[in-house]
This record gives sequence, structure tokens and C-alpha cells, in this order.
Amino acid sequence: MNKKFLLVISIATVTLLSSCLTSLHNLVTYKTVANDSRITGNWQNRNMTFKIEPVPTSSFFQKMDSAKVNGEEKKSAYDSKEDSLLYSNSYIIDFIKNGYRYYMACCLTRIGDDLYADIQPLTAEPVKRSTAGDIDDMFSGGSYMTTHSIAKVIFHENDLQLRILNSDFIKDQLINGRAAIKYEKDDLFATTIITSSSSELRQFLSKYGNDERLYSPKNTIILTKM
Amino acid sequence: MKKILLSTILFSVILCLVGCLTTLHPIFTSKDLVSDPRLIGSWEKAKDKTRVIYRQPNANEVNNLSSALQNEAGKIYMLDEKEEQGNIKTTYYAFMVKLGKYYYIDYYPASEKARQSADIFFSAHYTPMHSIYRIQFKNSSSFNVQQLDGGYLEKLIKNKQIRIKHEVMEDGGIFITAPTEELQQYLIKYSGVPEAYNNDHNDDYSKIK
Repeated sequence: MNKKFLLVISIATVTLLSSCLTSLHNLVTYKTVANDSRITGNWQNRNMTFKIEPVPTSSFFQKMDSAKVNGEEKKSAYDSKEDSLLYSNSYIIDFIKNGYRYYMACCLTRIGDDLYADIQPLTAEPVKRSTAGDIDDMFSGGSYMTTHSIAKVIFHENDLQLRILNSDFIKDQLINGRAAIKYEKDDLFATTIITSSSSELRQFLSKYGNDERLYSPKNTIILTKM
Repeated sequence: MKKILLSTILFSVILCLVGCLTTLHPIFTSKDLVSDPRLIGSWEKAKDKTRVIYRQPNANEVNNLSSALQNEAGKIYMLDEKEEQGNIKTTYYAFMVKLGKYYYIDYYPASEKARQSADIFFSAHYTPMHSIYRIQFKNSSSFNVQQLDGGYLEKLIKNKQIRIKHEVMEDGGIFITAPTEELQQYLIKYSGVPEAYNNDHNDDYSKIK
């Protein structure tokens, strides 16, 4: 990667927070989940490595699966047949940054000819537990709702592009009443969240998913296969 | 899956749904805020002797808020919850409002150093929520705070005994999206209903001299 490209990626990552518009509901359900093994493997963005594994064989899942509750071994990793169908066909994104290991869940679905990902946070833990505080505390200590980001997935030679929905464009459409999508907006705390159901989100993407204005370079994460 | 993966994903949400009434929107507008200087200071919870501090926000904490709230900075408090070792565990904004006969506090997570240092993309998936409590001063050196019971409102919604804006989650849980006005109407209407409050989170605090 040349320096200019690195700079673009760096800016893109930094600006994601201010422009990230997330969804209350998962785009993907157990009925619409899809597999694509091309997403698995080790990927690189700048100097960071992203490991993407199927949930059932991921180190995260195996660690959780062997965990005990109240001293008793869990009987099943899944709470329901629907959860089993959804998550056993999904992926774990695992990366390390500034001494913390982050885990996110990634569910794929096909809409028309396109592939989309629903990404949600799982947990983050210090790589060296003895030297760092528990990062979970920053979220579990307060009241937070975990939400989902939605990205179009594009495979291009050795690259995996996650084209996260361009929140600036969507917010503009929402404010002007031009987007057929449900949302909640609170001006006092500058909170905006999409509240459309999974099926409504699918309808939206099947209608507007190929509109290039929905995406932008600053909201695109490019991962290169290692 | 919920027990393992989703319990991790939605850890904070589960905590709230079990007891506390949490909402996407605040229970106040900037014009509704009230102040009570008695709140400032260090307090000890009678039940377990844990300590909390109520204080005025510093300049950075005020700057993190919208301009409408910055204009009411004198009526905004911060709550620092402490660990046993005395370190600050969590900090919330505390917004006090009078609705009907009672005073309520709307707690809202304040950005902390640890959170600010977390991965930006990861953090962006956590939406802060408002946690609702009723506060009653007994005198200048003691008060009681009681949590509003989210389960009670959920029951009213599921039994179709109330119309209040909400979303039904994939697991059947209820996510309250009611605007401020609807939330205020709910609090006033059910202020005298004991079941609307959570008895497990009904705490007396005494001022530490």
C-alpha cells in the first residue's frame, strides 16, 4: 500500500464514528442468513490484522462454549433453534488494537445479486488481563444498547470491501423525508438510530442498494488478504 | 446462542431489561431541568455502604453536550460511582426534573477515558440509553432513589393496557422509543402505582460529612 492510500484508510477509520448510523434490528435473520467462505481468513488494514472465522469453529465461540455458569457446564451453545441457525452460519471478526482484543459478529445475507453484512459488537478484552483494566466496564457499567451496522460486501481480487452505509446521505434523506426507512432521532443528545425491521431493511436495500450515493469512500473499510 | 453470544452482545441491555426502565429518549426537555443544591456531595448507600459523588460537570463534560443542554449547565449534575478501592467506576450525567408531585433523575452514561480509547468503529455500535429513577429527599443529609421498573411497563405493553411507542426486539423484549412527552405522561400517570417501581433498587443514601 502506498502512503496516499494509507492516509485515506486512516482518515476513513477515524471518521467512521462521527458518521456511523446504526440499526436497532439485525438485517439478517435465521431465514435469510447466507454463507460465503471467501470472507474467512486473515485480512489486513493498515498495520492491523483482522481474523474472520465461522462462528462454530472460532476461538471466541469455543471459549464461550466451554465456559461455565454457576459451576455447571452449559448443555448447548444456542438458546433456540432460530439462534442456532442464524449464528452457526455467521462469522466472528477478531482484531487487536491498542492492547485490546475486539470481537464482532458478522451475519451475511444475499439481496438480489448483492451480498450484505450485518456487523454487531460482541465484546472486547485486554490482551494482557493483568496489565489492563476491564474494557467491558466502559459499556456494561452504563446503560447501552448494542446496535448493528450494515455494509455491502464486495470481493475484488485480494481485497474485501465493507461498504458501510453512508450515514451522512441517509440522515439527509431521513431529515427531508425522502427515505422509506423508520428511525428515531433525539436532538438533545444527538442520537439517531434506524428502527426498521429486518424485512423493511431488506426492502430498502433491494430498492436502493445499488444507488452509489448510499456508499462513500470514507465509510468503506478495505481489507487485504494476507 | 443468546445465553452465550447474545448475552455477551447485549450484556448491558439485559441488565437494564431485568429491572430498570431505560429509554432511547430523555424524560425531559432542556427547559424542564431543575436543580437542588442538596444533591452535591459524597453519599453512602445504606444497603451496602458503597459511595457515590454528585458534583457539577467540568468544562469538558459540559462541552460534550448539545448547545441546548450547555445553556442549562447549572442544572446538570454528574454522578461518580466508586469501586471498593475508591476508584471511580462509572460516571453518569444526572438530570433532575419535576413531574407531577415527584422529582425524577434521568441518568445518562458519560464518555469515559477508557471508552474514548476504544476502537472507534466498535464503540459506535453502543447507543447510550436513559435510566429513570425517582428521587425523594428526606432532609438535607439523606435521600431515597427508586428505580422505575422496566418490567412493569413491558407487562402493560404486552397486555395492551397502555399505548406507548416501542419496538419489539427479535427475542421478544421491548425497547422504549417513546418521545419525551409520552414518557412524562407515563411517569405522572403511574407515579402512585407501587408496582411501577423496582423494590430491589430502592436505596437510601446518607451524606458523608
